[in-house]
Amino acid sequence: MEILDGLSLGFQVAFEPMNLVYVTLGVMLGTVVGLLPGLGPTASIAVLLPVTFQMPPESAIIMLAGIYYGCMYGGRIPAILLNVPGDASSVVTTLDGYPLAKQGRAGAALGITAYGSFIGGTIAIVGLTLFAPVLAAFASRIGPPENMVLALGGLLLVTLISNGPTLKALLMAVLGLLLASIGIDAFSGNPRLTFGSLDMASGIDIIPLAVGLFGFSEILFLAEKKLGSFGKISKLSSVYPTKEDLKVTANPILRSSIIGFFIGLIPGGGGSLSSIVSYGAQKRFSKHPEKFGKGAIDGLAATETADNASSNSAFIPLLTLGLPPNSVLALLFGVLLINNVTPGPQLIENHPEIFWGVIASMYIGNIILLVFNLPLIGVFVKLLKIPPVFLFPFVIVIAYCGVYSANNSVFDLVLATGFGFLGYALKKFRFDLTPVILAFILGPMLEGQFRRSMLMSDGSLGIFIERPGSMVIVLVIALSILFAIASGIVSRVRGKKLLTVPEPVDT
Amino acid sequence: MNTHERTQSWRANRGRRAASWLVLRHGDRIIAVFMMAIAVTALIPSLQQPFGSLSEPGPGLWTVALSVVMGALSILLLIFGRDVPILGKTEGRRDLLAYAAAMFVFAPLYSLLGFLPTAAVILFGLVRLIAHARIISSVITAVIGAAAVYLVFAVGLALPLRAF
Repeated sequence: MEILDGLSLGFQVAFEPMNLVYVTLGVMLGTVVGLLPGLGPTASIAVLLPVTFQMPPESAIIMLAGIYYGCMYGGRIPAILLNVPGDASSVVTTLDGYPLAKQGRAGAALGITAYGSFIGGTIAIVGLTLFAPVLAAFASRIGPPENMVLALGGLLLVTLISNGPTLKALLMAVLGLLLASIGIDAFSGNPRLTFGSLDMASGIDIIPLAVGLFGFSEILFLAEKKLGSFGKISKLSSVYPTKEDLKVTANPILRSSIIGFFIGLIPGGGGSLSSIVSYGAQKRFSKHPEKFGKGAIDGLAATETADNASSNSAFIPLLTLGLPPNSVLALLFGVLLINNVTPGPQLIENHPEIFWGVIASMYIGNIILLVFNLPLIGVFVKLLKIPPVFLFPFVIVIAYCGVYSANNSVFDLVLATGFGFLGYALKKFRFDLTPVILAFILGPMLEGQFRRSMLMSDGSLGIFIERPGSMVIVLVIALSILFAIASGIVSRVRGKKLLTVPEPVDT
Repeated sequence: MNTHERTQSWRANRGRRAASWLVLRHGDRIIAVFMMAIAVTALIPSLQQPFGSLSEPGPGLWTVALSVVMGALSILLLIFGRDVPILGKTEGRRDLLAYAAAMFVFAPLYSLLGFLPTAAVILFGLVRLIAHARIISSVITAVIGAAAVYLVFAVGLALPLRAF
């Protein structure tokens, strides 16, 4: 009954006329920006974040959730039509999506993508509705040591499964933690790492960091490749899948929804991991595995369903534990903090309108994605005909609008530029930037919970293993880390992991 | 295959026409030195903060610990670092410099001129240099584009942008 009451409250918030407008606008804006190849969901959301600044917190997060789905779906369009993946998770989409487009079935591919995403997203949201309050109730009973161990474990897991060598990912995580500690210390009021600058005394804001590190660096990276045009776009016929398509994809969609849901709960587990695992699983179950890579619609359905399911279930650790499991949700976490809302176990008690409003808006956003995006795909595709050399200058100007608007600060403009150049250099040297933003977001929580734990235990580090809750979490995380390390070693021994570092994958 | 052969093979498979991939010898080690410099830069002021103790951690404890860990990881990268294949000579270099210059001048121009002239200058420069549009087209795109962005964000969404 509590869940029903909560949902009722949530739908009241989500169905407010302005919030409906916001979620619709968010989905459409997100799709438009997300379909620009190369920017990726993190950069796209970083650029669009400032659009929400003047809104109340629940409206801001509702709109951002819409932008999130829109971006995730938008990245599929160039992947299918142009064989240009918009982000890491849409690389798997190109394997069967583009061959289907070349066979004249681009419409069916886009349609099944939307349909599978809708089903996967809906199942994940139902899971979120049932699971999140239970987890929040459990999480509200845990203390600083458990919170600290959870945050550290989540960060380590994401670092271990990031692209590229682990050592470089760890360096990025520490860099993020250092950046987060710039400013006034919350406990003592002492300025730290400010070098006497008043601007630095207020710390580094998430907006210039995210826009610079993900948005500007990506544009610089793409500029180097001289993206003249997006290439020839496959012809689009009807976007509605046939009855045969629906029949073939029914089981893959159901199976992939569950796979995606559980993988999305793992820190770093969403996006490409859920797509890859689901694709691999479907290939085993498929009656025609030989078609995979040549236009297998069930393979495409599996990967897209899992991707959207994981995108939605990833909200569970964010809303209930205050742990963003990926860089995109780290940005959403930052937006909530800007609005004086702290995601975590207390969110459901202190701000139930936000907690349930977000969940309700996810139901609505999922429907809007299907209802609006499918008929409007023809319009979105026309955007791909605009050469990126005209689009990216506007993206830069819009991004700077947003950066300045965060704090009315020219210093933020300078920071965004600086982080843009830094991010570009780090990408050139094959560093994954995801650990930076995650560590930046989790840094204050990690330090705060660590210091509180030390106060509680009078300086004894044993508190992290003496308390049953934190000991269980430590064991689970230690096993996960060992598994990740072992998998990496096995892969290396089998020669699957090349010594030449692969092309950096957009986050 | 050694690193050079792998890179050459990778380059051939990527099918890049005008790009030339370089193997940046000791690429990881170069970054390791840079990270070590960051660690030292963070460590020095952190040591001047009250350290406290484990039972009552001071503001310096966390940043010192992070600086030390970063230094240690940098040393490991220095020891185990590898060569890095990077995109060297490429026909996109001019575009890269144009975008970088646009980003570099945005903040100072905004301080001096406000949003509208800054956005117009940036859009004109990029559209003219990178899209190779005619001067008239570039001017029209820049003026209308800057005005449209201002209308949408400053007027429509009430973002606090200074027009002039």
